Amino acid sequence: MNRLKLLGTTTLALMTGISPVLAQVTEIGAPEGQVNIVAWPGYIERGETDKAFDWVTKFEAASGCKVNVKTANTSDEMVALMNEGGFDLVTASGDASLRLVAGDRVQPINVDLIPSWKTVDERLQNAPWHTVDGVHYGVPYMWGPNVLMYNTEVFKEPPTSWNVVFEEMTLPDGKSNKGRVQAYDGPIHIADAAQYLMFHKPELKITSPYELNEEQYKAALDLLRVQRELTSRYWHDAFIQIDDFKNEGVVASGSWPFQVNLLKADGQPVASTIPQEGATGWADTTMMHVDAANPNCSYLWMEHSLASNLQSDLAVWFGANPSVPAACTDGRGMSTAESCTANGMDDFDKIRFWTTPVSNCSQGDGACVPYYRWVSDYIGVIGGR
Amino acid sequence: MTAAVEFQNVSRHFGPVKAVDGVDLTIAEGSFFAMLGPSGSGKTTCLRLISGFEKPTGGQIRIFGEDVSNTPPHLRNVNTVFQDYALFPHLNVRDNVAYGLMVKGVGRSQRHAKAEEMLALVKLDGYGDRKPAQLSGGQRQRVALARALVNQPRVLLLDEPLGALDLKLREAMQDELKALQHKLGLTFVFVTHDQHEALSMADSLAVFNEGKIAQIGTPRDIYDRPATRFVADFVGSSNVLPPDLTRALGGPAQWASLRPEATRLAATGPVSGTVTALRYLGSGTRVVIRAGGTEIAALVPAGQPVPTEGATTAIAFDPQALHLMGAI
Amino acid sequence: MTYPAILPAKGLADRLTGTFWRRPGLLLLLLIAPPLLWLGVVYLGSLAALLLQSFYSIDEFSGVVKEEFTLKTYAELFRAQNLDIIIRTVVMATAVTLACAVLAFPIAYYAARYAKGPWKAAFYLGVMLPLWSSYLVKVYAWKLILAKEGILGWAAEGTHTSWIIDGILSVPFLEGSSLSTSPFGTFLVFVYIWLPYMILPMQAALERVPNSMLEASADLGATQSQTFRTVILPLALPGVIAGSIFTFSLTLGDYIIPQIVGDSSRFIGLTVYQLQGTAGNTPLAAAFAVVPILIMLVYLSLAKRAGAFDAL
Repeated sequence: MNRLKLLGTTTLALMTGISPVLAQVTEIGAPEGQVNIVAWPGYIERGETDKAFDWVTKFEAASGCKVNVKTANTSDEMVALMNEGGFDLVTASGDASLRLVAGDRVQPINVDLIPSWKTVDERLQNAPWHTVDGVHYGVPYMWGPNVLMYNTEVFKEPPTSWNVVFEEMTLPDGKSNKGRVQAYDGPIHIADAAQYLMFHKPELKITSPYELNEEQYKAALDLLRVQRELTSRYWHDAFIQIDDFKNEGVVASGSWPFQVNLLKADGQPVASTIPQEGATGWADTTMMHVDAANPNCSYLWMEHSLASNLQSDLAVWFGANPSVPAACTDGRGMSTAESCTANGMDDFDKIRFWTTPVSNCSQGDGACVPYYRWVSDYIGVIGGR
Repeated sequence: MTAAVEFQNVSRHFGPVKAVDGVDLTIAEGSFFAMLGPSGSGKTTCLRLISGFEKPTGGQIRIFGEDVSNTPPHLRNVNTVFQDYALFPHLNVRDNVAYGLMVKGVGRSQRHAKAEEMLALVKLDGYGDRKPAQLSGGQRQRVALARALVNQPRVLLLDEPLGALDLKLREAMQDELKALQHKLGLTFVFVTHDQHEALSMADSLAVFNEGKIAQIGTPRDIYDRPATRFVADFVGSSNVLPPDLTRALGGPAQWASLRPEATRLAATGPVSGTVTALRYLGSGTRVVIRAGGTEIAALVPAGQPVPTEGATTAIAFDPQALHLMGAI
Repeated sequence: MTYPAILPAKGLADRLTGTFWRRPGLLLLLLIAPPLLWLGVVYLGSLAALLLQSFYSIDEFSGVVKEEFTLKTYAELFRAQNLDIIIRTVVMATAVTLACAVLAFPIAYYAARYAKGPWKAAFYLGVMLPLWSSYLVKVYAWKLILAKEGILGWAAEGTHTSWIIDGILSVPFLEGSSLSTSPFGTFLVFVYIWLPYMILPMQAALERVPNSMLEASADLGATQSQTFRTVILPLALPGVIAGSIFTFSLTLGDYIIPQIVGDSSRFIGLTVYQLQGTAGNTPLAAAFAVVPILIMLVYLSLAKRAGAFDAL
């Protein structure tokens, strides 16, 4: 119920453009001794999974703040945990961050108290998924593209278009792509189809793949129905996709650098590319709870998240990109210019980041198809309708 | 006259256990034949050999002259009344009785009419619509009987048919079964461990012991002239005398039986002992005397003096009543 | 020396036992009150909340739940794509239940009537063992077995029987690039996962059929197949129904297996999960969740009419 009310409030707030401005912290006091963070699995490592990946131990020693982590597996779980309270920080994705802002669950961040703020990628500093009316509600954490992963034995040259997963065709190995490609098993994949149409059907006048009017939306669904014929299974779990590339003869699919890196490490013949149409992507933000009990440790952690080895090592660990570009090259961690390039660091401009589709969009109030319809219609498409 | 059932050297061994071991047996057509014995003596296995639920490991079984050793139960023209009745709980009484006709493909109205006829025969008219669970033990027994008779078997097998009934009902059913057998003229073979039941109902009976037949004969034969010490022990309330006692009483050195009603008390005699128990029976008093290592019962008719417990008395008997027999 | 007719109560336990003896209802009440409360409040309460939600609707424009009574959400169930999901799920549950019943019967029959001593223990172990390992592990293992380059495909190639798999995969509605991406694969995994829930009640029911019942049937002239149809099956039916309630309702509600094995087509459980979890469309999720309940009620009343519970 809370979640629903929240969704309602979110939409309402977006509709009316109201955003609460709250008092923000003006100075950092004495550390409280701990900080409680809701995070994606694998986001906050203290060397327990792999000794080489640790960006917590030194922080605890230096700041005196013990880091407590609660992992969450979906954006909805994160929102629910923040609603319950008891946490200081959350690593929210673009489809959760605005809900948290509109629901008054997070507070504005005083970037003056975070010395490394100026090192954050300028393109992320004012990103719309954490900045509302010029007020910052968080510190960028990590971002990544949804790349096109392909089998290098089938594709001697990287595919230049997403058409290999959207339209029936003969692949370079002389066989059809039918039954050999995959697509993401989430309604947000409609945006990938819309992005493809943006490039190939300019007459539809799509300006953002997350803001589709009825006509544009219908065209995207039609494209996805063609894709249904080609796809023997949709993927939603990274490890299932890895298995499908190994054992099911899948040769091309939208994917994350995470899977690409794991498969490569396993000696599988795969590579990834961002085709001419561009790609969708995700960007996460560290946000602070409105009633955070440990604001001082929270600020110290946010600074740590930008200044330390965290950005550099996490980028390698997760197959993602740092929000601080210098982390790729200044040797603070394991990232190198090459590894960042592999994860899509250079492709920022080609990426359209995930946001929750709402009905009141730049095309006008009520002009766009809202997310809940994306969900039910995508169910229909996968079911062969 | 052909025999209804004939066993020739029939055995049924379960591994090392010889449940039935080299049995020869002839059951005359139209007779009421009892198989008597303690549990584990092979009597039930013999019945199951006739019905076909057991296959003999040796020998030959004939039913009305035909060798049935390789005939499955459903093709044998014999039917069984089971010890637990084995009524089908999901069918009503009428359908239970008509079951044998149904599996033979007899039409509904015809088999129902026949079932009602059978229910009338066992005095259960009007009970057709009930479920077995709604009947008393005696009523279930009758249904089982009607169900077994509906196929008009040439031999009816009854496995401890009255075992689950109380005494009064049991006696009434004994008479009824006997009357029914007379009326139908069928061969009845029934298994029991109750010697009174076997003696009072059967035309002839076989006493089983450890997989073999200890004795076959009429009830009178078996009661009066038990062939072995086991039969005497099991069938009657007879005194079983060991060889030395028989000799002391004036007979040869052999096992012998002596019925209590032929045993008298006397002031003096070759064998005497102490009275250890008295039981008043109405028609007389049963006196148990301990002589040597053996207990001997004597029946003192009503009106005659009865000794007290602990008294010493001698034993006398009618010499013709002393019956000599085999050791086993 | 004389002894009293009534012994003195030694302590609280004696007095309590006495109280319960004098008022047998009290103990019963004490024993069943907690589970009844649990059932009443937690279970029926949440069921009522679910029903209530299903009569709300989501505002098309803003996506907010409108807390007003309407049948609109139920009408949405009849949209083609949603009807697809319901039919797909019911067909799958029916097929899984039938297959489980056919597979389980001989196993249960053997275990109930023939297995003795150590064999019985081995049977229980064999049936229960798969229940002890993680459900997810089993499903992932099946994904590997059924994969295009998995054990089954490899074995079929080695024995030149690939045409069987290809044949199955070319049947309409069962198409896929491999068994693991075909609805037939989903079916196989469902059957495997739920089979123990069919075997155990069936075996319990068969065990209660006395041997003499079967002998009586043969004695009265029934062939083995007649005995099976007219005696064994009706007497085992309550067990079969109990087992089928398990397999049927578990398949109706499962949302994990279709995510891992199959062609990603939605089943009711997965749809509820997604509608509620990511779309925030709780009314439609609730309406979908009511469907299995209704189906089970229909199923049970049909079973009752067919006489499934007569032998109880």
